[in-house]
Amino acid sequence: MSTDLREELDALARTQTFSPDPSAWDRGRRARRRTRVAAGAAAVAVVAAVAGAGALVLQPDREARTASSEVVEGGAIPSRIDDIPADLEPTTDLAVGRGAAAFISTSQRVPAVVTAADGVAHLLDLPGWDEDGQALALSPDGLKLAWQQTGDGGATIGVLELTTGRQRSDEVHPDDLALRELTWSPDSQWLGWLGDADGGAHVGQLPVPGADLGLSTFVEGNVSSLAIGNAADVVIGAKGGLHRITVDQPELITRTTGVGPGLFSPDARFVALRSAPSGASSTLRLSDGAVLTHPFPDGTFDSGAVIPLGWLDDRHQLLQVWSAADEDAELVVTTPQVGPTSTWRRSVGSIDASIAGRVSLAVDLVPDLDGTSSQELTRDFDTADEPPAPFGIELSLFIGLGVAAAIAVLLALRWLWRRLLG
Amino acid sequence: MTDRSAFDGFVQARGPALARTAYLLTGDHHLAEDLVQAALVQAAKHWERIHTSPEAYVRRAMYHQNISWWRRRKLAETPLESYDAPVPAADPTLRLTLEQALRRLTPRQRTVLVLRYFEDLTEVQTAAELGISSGAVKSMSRQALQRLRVLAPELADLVGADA
Repeated sequence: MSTDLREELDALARTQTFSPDPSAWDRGRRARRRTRVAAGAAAVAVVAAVAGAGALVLQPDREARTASSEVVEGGAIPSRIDDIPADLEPTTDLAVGRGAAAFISTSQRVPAVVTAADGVAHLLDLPGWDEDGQALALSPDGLKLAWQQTGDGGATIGVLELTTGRQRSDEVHPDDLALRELTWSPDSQWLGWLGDADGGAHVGQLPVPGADLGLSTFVEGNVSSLAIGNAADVVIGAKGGLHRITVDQPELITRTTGVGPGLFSPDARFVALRSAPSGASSTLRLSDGAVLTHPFPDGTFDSGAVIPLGWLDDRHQLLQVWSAADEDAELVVTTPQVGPTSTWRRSVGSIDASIAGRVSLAVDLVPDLDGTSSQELTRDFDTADEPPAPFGIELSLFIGLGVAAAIAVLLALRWLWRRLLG
Repeated sequence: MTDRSAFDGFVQARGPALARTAYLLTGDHHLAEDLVQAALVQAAKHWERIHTSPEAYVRRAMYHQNISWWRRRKLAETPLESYDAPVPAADPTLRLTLEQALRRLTPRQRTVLVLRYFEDLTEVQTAAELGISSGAVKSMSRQALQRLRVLAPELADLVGADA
């Protein structure tokens, strides 16, 4: 069978003629070159993708470098303010840049400034700083730092320009008073100060631009705190009430307990009040002496001590609410009282419990409110210093999918090319 | 000798034999030319790698290319309604009957038949060429012969009654 079939098949096959096509070689070589070019392009694409991914992976400080060298326009208040490390050395180069926050370090009893551009804390070797000093205040614009200078003379206030390092000193009282309070007017042009003395306290105003216009008043009895407005008007807490300082004697505004003056609003209509632990924040309305309250919303704080840190505008206050001594304080934005357009927003930022109550903020760095609850009012510099994980995952996924897609496209083209060539 | 001249020499020497096999595989003279040409283009493309034994490569390319082409034609063409009907005895000669019957086999069956009974490959060698198992070769070979007998009973003596 096989032999016969083979013979018949052979005879059948011999009916086929063969005429060689001289183009076969050239066509084959062209196909080879195309394949090589495609393979080379694919290799270059893969190498580029891998190299790019590798470069990104091998640059762990990419985001940190961006964060540290990129100057945030105007700067920002850090979303979290911690005490400085105990081993940080104070600097004598005082031109550290615009400040976002200032406080007296608990660990070293030295003034610290957190710079607005990068959120970095600097310990300052301020001239005349006494480690028992309590008076330190950063101006609302973040450009000036005031502190009490000790020396041979009377009570002296030093003011440092943080961007230039320039300093000035003003003796505000001939006696060697220990200043307990330093506070700025909303426009950063006036300093109010408070120094205890026998039988009472001295309260004064100091114009920061340098005019020789320092004023002071002796107030009998205990003075809890003071606030100063843009027009140098001063409100103090004393004798069971809130008083306006006049030329002669304090003028009673309203009787109240458990609160003390904090910060004037820019339009001088209100004074945000400090308050002992309670369920609301309080504000003095100067026009009628009413103490307005804004209760903490349900589900927020049961009780908390309030320290005003600034006014964002004529309506909105930035407060520190401290619910327990061993817990971090929260930054809260709110309005003097509840109403149709009132605001109450918590978790704007936080302050470490060890320094809560000693922090002053450059409130002018808070952006204008846009009315949304998602607006970032402070900046998380710590997160910016680390490669953001979600972005890293997305980037890896993107590169992986991109390489896979490129390979798939090339394979598809190769398959299509072979189909077309047959 | 340059690659080009070596390729040309190979085509000159083995082209006719390849064309004959191609014809048996396709059952069509034009398709056979195209099949050889496509396989030679592939050989030229990979000449550096196969130049020591180009014929084996070209033949294998033809076997697989033919089956691949058939699959595509199968998608484009309408199957014959009386596929397994006996070939009309219009052609008196045995060779023409065989030619027509071969065209009614599937490419795989025809390829196995060509490799086994024209190229004289063993079942194992055929299996290796086509990338299938020896059992599959044996099975397809038997099916091809049976079908030839059905399609052309007058080929019974040629293909064997008990195959």
